[in-house]
Amino acid sequence: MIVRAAFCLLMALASSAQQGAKPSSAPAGAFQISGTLVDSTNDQPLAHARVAVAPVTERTAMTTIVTADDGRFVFPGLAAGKYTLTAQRRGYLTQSFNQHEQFSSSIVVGEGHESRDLVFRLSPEAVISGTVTDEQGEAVAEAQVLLFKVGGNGDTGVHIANRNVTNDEGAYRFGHLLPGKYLVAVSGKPWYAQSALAQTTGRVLSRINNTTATTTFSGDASREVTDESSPLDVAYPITFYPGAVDAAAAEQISLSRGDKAVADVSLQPVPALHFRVNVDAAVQQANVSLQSRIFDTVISLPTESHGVDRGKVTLSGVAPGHYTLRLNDYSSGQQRTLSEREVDVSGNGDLLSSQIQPLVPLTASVQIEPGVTAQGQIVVWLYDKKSGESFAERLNAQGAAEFSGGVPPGNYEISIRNASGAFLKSITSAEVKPVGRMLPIKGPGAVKIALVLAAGQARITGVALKDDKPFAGAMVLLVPADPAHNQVLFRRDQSDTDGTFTLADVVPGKYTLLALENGWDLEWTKPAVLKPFLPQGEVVTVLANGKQEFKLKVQQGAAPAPQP
Amino acid sequence: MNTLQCIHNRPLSSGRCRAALRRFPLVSGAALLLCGFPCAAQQPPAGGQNLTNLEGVVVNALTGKPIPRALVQVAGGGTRAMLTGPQGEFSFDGVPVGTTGIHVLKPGFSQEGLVNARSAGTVKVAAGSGKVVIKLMPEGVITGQVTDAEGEPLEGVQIMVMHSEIANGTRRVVPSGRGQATDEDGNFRVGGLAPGKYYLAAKAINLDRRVLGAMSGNRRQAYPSVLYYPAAPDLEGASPLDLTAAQHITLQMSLKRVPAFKLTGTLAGIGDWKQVNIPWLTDRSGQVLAMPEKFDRATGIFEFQAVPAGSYFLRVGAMGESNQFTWTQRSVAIESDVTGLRMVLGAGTSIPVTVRAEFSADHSSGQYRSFSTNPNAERTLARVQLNSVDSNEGLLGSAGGPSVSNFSSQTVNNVTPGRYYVQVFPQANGYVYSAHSGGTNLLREPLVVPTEGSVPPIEITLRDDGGAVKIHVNSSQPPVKAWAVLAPEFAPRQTPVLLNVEPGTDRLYGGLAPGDYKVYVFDSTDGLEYANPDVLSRYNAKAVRVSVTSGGTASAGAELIHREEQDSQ
Repeated sequence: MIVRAAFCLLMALASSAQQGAKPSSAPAGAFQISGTLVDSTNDQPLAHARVAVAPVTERTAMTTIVTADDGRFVFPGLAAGKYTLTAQRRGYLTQSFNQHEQFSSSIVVGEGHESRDLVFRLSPEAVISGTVTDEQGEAVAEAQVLLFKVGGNGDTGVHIANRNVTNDEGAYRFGHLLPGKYLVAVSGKPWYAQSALAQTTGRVLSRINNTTATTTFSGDASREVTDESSPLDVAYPITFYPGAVDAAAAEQISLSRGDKAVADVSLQPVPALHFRVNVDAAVQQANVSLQSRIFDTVISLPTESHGVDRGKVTLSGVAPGHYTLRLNDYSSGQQRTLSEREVDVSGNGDLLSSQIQPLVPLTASVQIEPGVTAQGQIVVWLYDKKSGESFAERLNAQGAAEFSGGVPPGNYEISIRNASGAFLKSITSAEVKPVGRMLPIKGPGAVKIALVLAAGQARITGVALKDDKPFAGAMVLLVPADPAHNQVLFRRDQSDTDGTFTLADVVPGKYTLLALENGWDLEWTKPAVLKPFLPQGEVVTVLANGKQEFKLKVQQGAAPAPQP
Repeated sequence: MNTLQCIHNRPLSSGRCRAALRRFPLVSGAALLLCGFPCAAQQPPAGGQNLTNLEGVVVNALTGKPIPRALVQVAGGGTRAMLTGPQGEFSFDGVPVGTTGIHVLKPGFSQEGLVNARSAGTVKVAAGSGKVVIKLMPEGVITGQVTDAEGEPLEGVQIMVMHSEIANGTRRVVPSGRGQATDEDGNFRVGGLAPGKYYLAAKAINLDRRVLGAMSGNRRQAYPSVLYYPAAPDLEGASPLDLTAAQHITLQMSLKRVPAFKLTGTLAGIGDWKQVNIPWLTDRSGQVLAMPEKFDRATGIFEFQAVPAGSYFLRVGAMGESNQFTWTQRSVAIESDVTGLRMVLGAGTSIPVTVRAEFSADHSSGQYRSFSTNPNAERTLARVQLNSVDSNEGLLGSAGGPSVSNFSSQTVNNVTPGRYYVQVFPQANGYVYSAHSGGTNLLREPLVVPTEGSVPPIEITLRDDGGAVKIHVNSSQPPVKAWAVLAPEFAPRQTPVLLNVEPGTDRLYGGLAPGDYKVYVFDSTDGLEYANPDVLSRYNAKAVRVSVTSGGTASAGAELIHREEQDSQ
C-alpha cells in the first residue's frame, strides 16, 4: 500500500470519526486489530503513543487511541476490510505499519486473517545539529545550512533533504530524520564583507571602455585581473562538514535510528571575485545568477548582481568555484533567461555573453486523444538528471508547451503533469531522436517535439507468495523494458498483510513484474542491479485500460540488514 | 582605487601594499595588527579639503571592554571600512575635518553605534582631536519553551517577538527579527534583540494538523490561535518583557485547547479582480491567525474548520485590473459555528473629500496655485489619513489595512466599517481651519463608517492667516537641546507640532491655526508618546497655555521638563 507520506495522511481533512478510547466510527463488526507498539531498536514497548486506524477506502476517517503502559493497542468492533495503521510518539518518526519509504502494509481484517497481536515497530528519529563558526571561531548567524541524504527510492543519488538557517549563536538543527547517510553543506557570506567593486564599478567599467586594462579572452571564463582585491572583499566558499571546500572531501554522517549527531562547520574566507558579463543594447534590466550543483541538487546561491551599467552586468562577492552562470533579462518585466553556461571561476574578469552558451528553444506540441481529462492546465516537464535541472511549461491555447527561453543542452526525461489517468503514447521529433522517455538535446538549433497523450492507464493487482503462502511487506516492482531510458514508467507497492498489492496508473507497454523480500535498500533504478531478478519475474504486456491479476513468487532481494 | 584600510600581519610600507594584498588570506590568524602606514591606494581625494586622522576604539557599552573585529565604516571619499584590532582600535587617515558619518557593526551588538555617548551615526572630526570612543550595546535574547496543558512540549508553534517603539510620538508595536517555530522539544530562541520593551506571542496555526487523528471527527477543540505572553488573547492583556542589554530572558508558555467552531462563507465579486489572495483571519493588530482549510478561487467559497472562539477580522487582499491592491475586511465574532458569511470584495464605503483653501494671500507664485477648491487641480492641497480606532493596525504598523490615505483623488475608497481618527496634513500652504463630515468635527471626534449606508463627505478648510508662537525655555540647568510639543486643545486628535528649541533662546514658529495650545518643553522626547493626549496630560502641571491669534505672536515661557525626574515621580 502507498502511504503517500505520513504527513499527507495527517494533513487530510475532516471526517466523521470521533477521537477517544472507544472507537465508534469504524463500521461496526466482529473483528479487531490489536498489538503492541515497540521501539524498533530494542523492542521495548512504547506507552502513551497515539495509534490511529482508518479504512484504506477512507483514510481520513481515523480512530485514534493512546497506547497503554505495556504499549498495547486494541481496535475492536471492526468490519472485514483493509485498514491502515499509523502511530505517533514524540521522539519517534510518525509511521504506518512496517513502513518503507512511502510504502507500508495495510492490515487485512476478516475471516481467516490474523490481525491480532501485531508487533508495530516505530523508529526513533535521528537529529543532526551543529554550529557554524568563522575563521576566528565566532558564530556565523544567518548562514544557510543544507542537508543532503544519500540514496533512497532505489537510487544512490545525493539529494537535498532539508534547509535551515543558523541562529544568532550560529546553531542549526535538523530533526525528524530517518536512519541513513547524510551530508551537510553551508553557504554563507562573511558578515563584514565589503565589496570593493560595489563602490568602484563605475570607474572600473570606464577603464574597460577605454580598453586600457582588459584583454580579450577566449575559451573558458576570463582569468583577467582588473582590480585590486581588498582584505574585506571576501567570500565563504560552499563548505562541507567538517570543513571541506571540495565536495569530494565531504564527510558522510551515518545515522542509525535515534542517533543524535553533531556536525560543526568552520568557514574560512577567501578573496571574493567579481566578473562582468556584457549584454545586448536592447537589454535594459538584467542580472546574473549563480547556481551550484551540490551533489545531485542544483542550489541557487545568493549573489550580488549590480544591474546593467554601460552594457555590462557585474557580479561581485563570488568565491572561486564551479558554477552555472545564468544571464537573466528583466527588461520585459518578467524574468527571461537569455543564456547559461558552466564556468570555473578562479579570477576576476569579463565574460562575453556570446561565450555563454545560448539555450536551445524547444516546443512540445501535444495531441490530446479523446477521453483525456486534465486537472488544471497540462504541464510538460523536462528533467536532466545529470545537471539536476528541471523545466516545466504549461500548454498554451494552441496545445503546445513553448520553452521559449530555451533549455540548456542535456539529456532530458520527458513527462506530463496534471493529466492523471493519461499517458504519453508517442514521442517524435525531426531534430532529436528520443530513446524511451529520454530526449538528447544538443542544440544549437530549435527543437520541435510532437507528443500524443492518450487515456487509459492500466491497473495491476495480485498477491505475493512465499512458499505458496501470502507474504506481507514484499517490495513489488514493475520494471519497464529498457529501464535506463524509462525510469518514469517504474511502479512500486508493498504487499499487505494478506500478501496482496495494487499497482495503479500503469502506462501500457512491456514490463517485468517482481516481488522482492528485503528489496528496499536495492538500487533498483539501475538495470545491472535488477538483472539477476528479471528471469524469475513475470513478463507482462499491459494494454490500455487493462486490469490484470498475478500471483508472484517472492525472491530474496538483499540479505536482511543487520539491526543497528 | 582600493578604498579600504589595509590589515596586515606586519606593518608594510605603502609601496608594498598592493603586492601584499594579493597574498591573501590575511584576515585569518589570531594576531591582527593594524597597518600603521597608509596604503598607497587608500589616499582619499585631496580636493583642497582639510584632512586629518580619525582614530578611535570600539567598546562594549556595558562592560567598557574593547570589541575586536568590529566593522567600522566612515563616509567621505567613498565609504571606507576596516575591522577593529585586538584592542578594539581603528584608524582612518585623510578624513575630512567636520562632521563625518560613521557606522559600526558587530554581530551580537545593537547596530546603532553610540558615538561619544550621544549622537549616533556621526562623529565630529577636528584636526588633532583625540580618540573617538564608540560604544556598542550588547544585544539580549529571549528563549523559552511551549507546552500543552499536560506539560508535553509542542513543536511547530510560531513565535513572534514584537518590539514596542515610539515613532513620531505614537506608540507602535512592530515585529522584531525573524519569526520562528518551536523545535521538537518545544524550545525556541530569539536572539539579536536590542535593549527595549518586547511582547511575545505564540501562534498555533494549524498545529492540530501535526497531531495524528486530531483532524478526524468534529474538531470541537483547537489550540488558541494566538497567545500573548504570559497568557493573554490580545496585545492589550500581554505583559511586556523589559529586556536590558545582554540580558537573557527565559520563559515558559502553556497552550490549552479551547472550543473551536466552523466558519464558512463566500467572497462575492471575485470575478471583478485580476488576482484574489487567500482570505485570512487576523486579530486586531493584523496578525494572521488562521488560513482556511478550503478556498475555491472560482466561486469564492471558503471554509475554516476549527476557529477558536473569539473576535477576528476576516481579511482578503485583491488586485484589480490596473494592478491596484486593495484590502477588504470585516469583523467576525466566533462563538458558535458561522455559516454562509458573505463579504463583497472592494465594497467598502467610498468617502468623498473636498478641500477648500480660503487663502488671503496669492500663493500661486510659490509652490502651487492657490484658491483652488478642486483638490485635483495641479496639486493636492491636503493629504488625509484614516487611522482605525477599533483595530490597532496602526499600532502594529503593518502595511495596507485600514489606514487609508488620500493623496490626489477626491475620494477615499473601500473604507471598512469602523471608527477612524482622520489626520489632515496640508501639503504646502496653510493650516487646517476645520475638518468635518456632516455634523462630526473630525478634529475632535472619530469618523464613524457604518456597515450600511454612506458617510457624509469629508470637508476640509485650509486657511493661511495663522498666528505664531514665541517659545522661551526657562531652565537653570540648561541641556544643549530641548524639544517643544505644541498640542492644539481644539484638535486633540491631530498630531502635535514638535520643535527643536534651544534653552535660553527664543524660538519663533508661525503658520499655526488660531486657538489655544498647551506647550510642553522636554529635555528628551525619546520614548515619549506625545501624540497620545492621555500621555501628554501627565505633564500638564508643567505645561503652559498660549492663545494663538490670527496674525499675532503669542509668547510662551515654558519650564523645561526633565523627563527622568518627572517620570520617576
